[in-house]
Amino acid sequence: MTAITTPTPRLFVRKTSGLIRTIGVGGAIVFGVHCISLSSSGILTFYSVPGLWPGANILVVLTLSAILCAMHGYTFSQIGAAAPRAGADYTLASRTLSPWLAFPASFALVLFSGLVAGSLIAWIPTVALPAFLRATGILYQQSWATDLATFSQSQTGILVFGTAGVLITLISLFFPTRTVVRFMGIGFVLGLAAWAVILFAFATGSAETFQANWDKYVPGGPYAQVIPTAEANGLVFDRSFQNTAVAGLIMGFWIFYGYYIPTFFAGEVKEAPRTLLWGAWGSLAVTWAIFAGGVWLFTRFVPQDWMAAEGYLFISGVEGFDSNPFVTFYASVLQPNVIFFLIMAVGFIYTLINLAQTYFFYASRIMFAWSFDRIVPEWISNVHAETGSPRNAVLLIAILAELGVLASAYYSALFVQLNFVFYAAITMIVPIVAAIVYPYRKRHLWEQGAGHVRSMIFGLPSMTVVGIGTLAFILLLVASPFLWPAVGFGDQQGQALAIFGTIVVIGLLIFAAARWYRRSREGIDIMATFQEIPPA
Amino acid sequence: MPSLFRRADRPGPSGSIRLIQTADLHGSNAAFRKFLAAARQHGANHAIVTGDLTGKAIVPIIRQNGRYEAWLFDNREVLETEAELERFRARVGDVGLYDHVCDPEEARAIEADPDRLHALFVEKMNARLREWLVRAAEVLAPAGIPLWVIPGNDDDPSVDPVLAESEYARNVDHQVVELDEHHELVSMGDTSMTPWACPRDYPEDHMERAVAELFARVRNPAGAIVNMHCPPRDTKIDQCPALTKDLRIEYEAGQVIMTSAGSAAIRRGLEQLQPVLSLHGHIHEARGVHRIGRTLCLNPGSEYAEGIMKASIVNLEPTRVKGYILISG
Repeated sequence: MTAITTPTPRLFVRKTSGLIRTIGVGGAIVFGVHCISLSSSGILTFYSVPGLWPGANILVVLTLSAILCAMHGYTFSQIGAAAPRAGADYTLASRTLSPWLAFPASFALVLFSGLVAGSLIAWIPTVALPAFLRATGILYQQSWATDLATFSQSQTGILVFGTAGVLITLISLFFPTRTVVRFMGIGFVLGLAAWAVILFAFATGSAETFQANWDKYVPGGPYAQVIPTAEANGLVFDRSFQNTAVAGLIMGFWIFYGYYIPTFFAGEVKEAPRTLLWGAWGSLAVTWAIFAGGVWLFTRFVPQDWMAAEGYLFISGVEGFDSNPFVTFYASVLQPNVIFFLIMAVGFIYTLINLAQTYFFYASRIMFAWSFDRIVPEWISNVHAETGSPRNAVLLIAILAELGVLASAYYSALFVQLNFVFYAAITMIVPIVAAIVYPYRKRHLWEQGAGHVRSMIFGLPSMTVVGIGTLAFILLLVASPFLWPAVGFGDQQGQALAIFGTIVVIGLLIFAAARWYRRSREGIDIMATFQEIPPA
Repeated sequence: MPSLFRRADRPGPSGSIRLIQTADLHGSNAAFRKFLAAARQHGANHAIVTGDLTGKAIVPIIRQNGRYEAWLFDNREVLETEAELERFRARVGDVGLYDHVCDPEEARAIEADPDRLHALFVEKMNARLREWLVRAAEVLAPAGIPLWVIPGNDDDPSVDPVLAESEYARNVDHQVVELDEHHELVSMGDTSMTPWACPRDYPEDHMERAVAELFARVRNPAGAIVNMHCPPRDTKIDQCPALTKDLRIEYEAGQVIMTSAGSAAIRRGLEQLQPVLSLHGHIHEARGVHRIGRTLCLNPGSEYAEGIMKASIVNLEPTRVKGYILISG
C-alpha cells in the first residue's frame, strides 16, 4: 500500500486584493487572430503573394513566414513580459537603451500605423467592396453594381468610401471600451463565418465547375487566357527558393502582422509571459491553418500559376482584361449563393473596419505611454468622462488614417502597406536590440523576470539568443527592398528612406522640445523617468 | 543668464516644494530602497508612501536532504549552499515576497492552520516594515527629508503599532498635517470595498463620512495635498479589470474589460474641496494622471513584483502644480 502524502506547498498566500493573475490563453489567441485579420490577410494570401512573387510557393511562403514570425513573437512576448505596461516596446527600449532612440522609433511606428490603418480602410473601396459589387454585377446581371465597383476603385471613390471608413472607425471608438470590444467580438465571429463559407466552397469545388463558372461570370477575362495574357504583359515565373523566401520574409510578415500587437497592451494583460507568448503563437497557428488550408483546398483544382497570373494582371492594371484575384470572388464563383455571398461580404468589410479599430486602439495606447513620460501633452491621453474612450488620441490617429487613405488613392493601398512593413521593421530594431542587451544592462530586473523572460538557451539568456535571431530576421526585412528592388519600392528607395529619416528627425525634435519645455517651465527633467535608480 | 537656458529641474523660489510619492510597495525591498534613493537623488523636500506597505505571500523554502528547494514564479529553485540560499532570499524580498525556511512537515502544518499562517504573516510583515523604517531614517534623515506614511487596504491592522514605533517616519492616516505654511497633507488609507474584503475595505457610506470629516479640517484648500490610497471613481487612475462573480477577469474578443474601482465619495470630496494635488495608489495598472477641476490627481502605479519602483515627483508652488513626472526604475 502506498502512503498518500500531501504535496508541499509552493506559496503561502494571505487574503489581499488583486490576486487574480490570469486570463485565458484562448482569449489572447482570439485577440491575436483579430489583429492579424482574417479579411486583409486572406486577401493578401490569395492575391498579393502570387501576384507580386509569381512562381513562389504560397504554402511554403506561409509556413516559412509563420516560423520566422513565431521567433519574432517570442521576442516581443518577452518584451511585453519584461515591461508589462502600455507601449511595452517603447517602455523597455527607453529604459534599457535611451529615450533618444526609443521615442523616435516609437513615434515613427505610431505615425506609420495611423497611415497604414488608412490604407487598410482603403482596401474596402479598392478590394473588398469591388470584389462583391463585381460579383453581384456579374453573377446577378446588375450593371449598377459593376459601375459602382469601377467608381469605388477610382481615386474619387477611394477618397469617398475611404473617408467614410475612417469616420466610421473614429466614431465607433467614441463608444465605451466595452462596446468597442463587443464590435470586435462580433467581427471575429463574422470573419470566421466568412472563412467557413470560403473553405466550404473550396472543399466542394472542382476544376470543371470553377473554369465553367469563371468563363460564364467573367467573360472579359476567360480562364484559359489568364496565364497567356499575363505572360504577354511581362509576367515571368520565378520558381527559385529565393523568390519564395523573399516573399515569405516581406509578404509573410505582413500577412501575419498583428500576432504580437497584444504586447502594446501588456499593461492590461495579466500574467503577461504566458498570455503574450501563447497568444502570439496560438494566433499564428490558427491563421496559418485557415490560410494554408484555404490555399491547399483551392490549389487542388486551380494551379498557383493561374492565381499568380490573375493577381499580376490586377496589380499591373492590364486594360481590356477583367481580373478579380480575390479569395471571396473565387468562392463566389464556386458557390454563387446569395446567402454565402452576403456572409462573406459583411464578414470581410466589417473585419476590415475592425482591423483599423485595432490599429487606432494600439497606437493610442502607445501615445498614452508617451504622455505618462510627459513627452507629449497631457490632453492626448485624456479619456472621456462617461465612455472612457481616448478621444483625443484616436482623433489624431484618424487624421493620420485619412492621410493613409489619400496615399492609397494616389499610389496604392498595397504600396502604402509594403512601405509600412519596411518602416515598422526599422522601428522594431530598437526594442529588439533593447531585448538582446536587457539581461546584461538590466541584470537585476532580468533576474526577477517572470516566466520565459529569464529562461536560458545554451547557457545564455533566451532573450539574447532569440533576440539575435529576431534581429537578423528584421534586418533581412529591412534589407530586402534594396536587395530585390523589384519587390520593394522599385525606383523609390531614396524617397522611402528620406520619408523615414524625416519622421525620425521630427521625433527627435519633439523629444528635445518636450525636454526643454518641462525643464524650463515646470522644473522637471523628463530624463528622470528613464533613469535607473540604484537602491539605497 | 537668460531663463531659456536656465537649468530649472529644481523647485523654484519661496513657497515651492518638491514631493516624491509612491504607493503599493507590497513588501518589495528593491522598490522601497529605490524609493529612498530617488527621494535623495531628486532633491525631494517630502517623501510620501500612499499605502499598501506589506507583501501578499510567503515562499516556503523547504529544507530537505541537506539542500533547499523553493518555487518562485512557477520556477523550481534548488539551492545547494548557504550562499545560494541567501541570494535567493534577497531575490524573494526584492519582489515583495517573504520567505520561511522550514521542513516539509512544517510547511504542510502551516498551510493547514489559518491562525498559524496569519501569525507567520504578521511576524514577517512587521519585521520587514521595521527594517524599512530603520533604513528610511538612515537614508532620509541626513538629507532632511520627512517620510509620511499611511497604510493601505491590504495592510493588516498590526502594522499600525509598528509605524507608531518609528522615530522618523510618521503615520498620518486620518490626519491633516501641515507640511509648510502653504501646504497641508490630508491622508487616509481607507478604501472602497474590493471583492476580497481586505482589512481596510469600507462601504461607500463610511468613505463618505470619513472624507467629509477629514476635509472639514482643511484650513487652506487651495494649497491642500490629498494623500489617499484609494483613487477617485471614474477616472483614468482607477481603471482595473472587471471581474466575474467567481473572481475571474472578464474579457471579450480577447480583450480585458476594464472598470472603475475608485471611491465615489473621494471623487465628490475632491470636486468640492478642489485641493491643488491628490495622490493615490491602489490600482497598480492604472498609472497615470487625471484632472478633477483644478485638482491634479496622480497614481504612480506599481510593479513591485518585478522589483521596479514607481513614483511621482511633483514640483508644487503655494497654490498650483508647477510640474510633475512619473518615474520608474
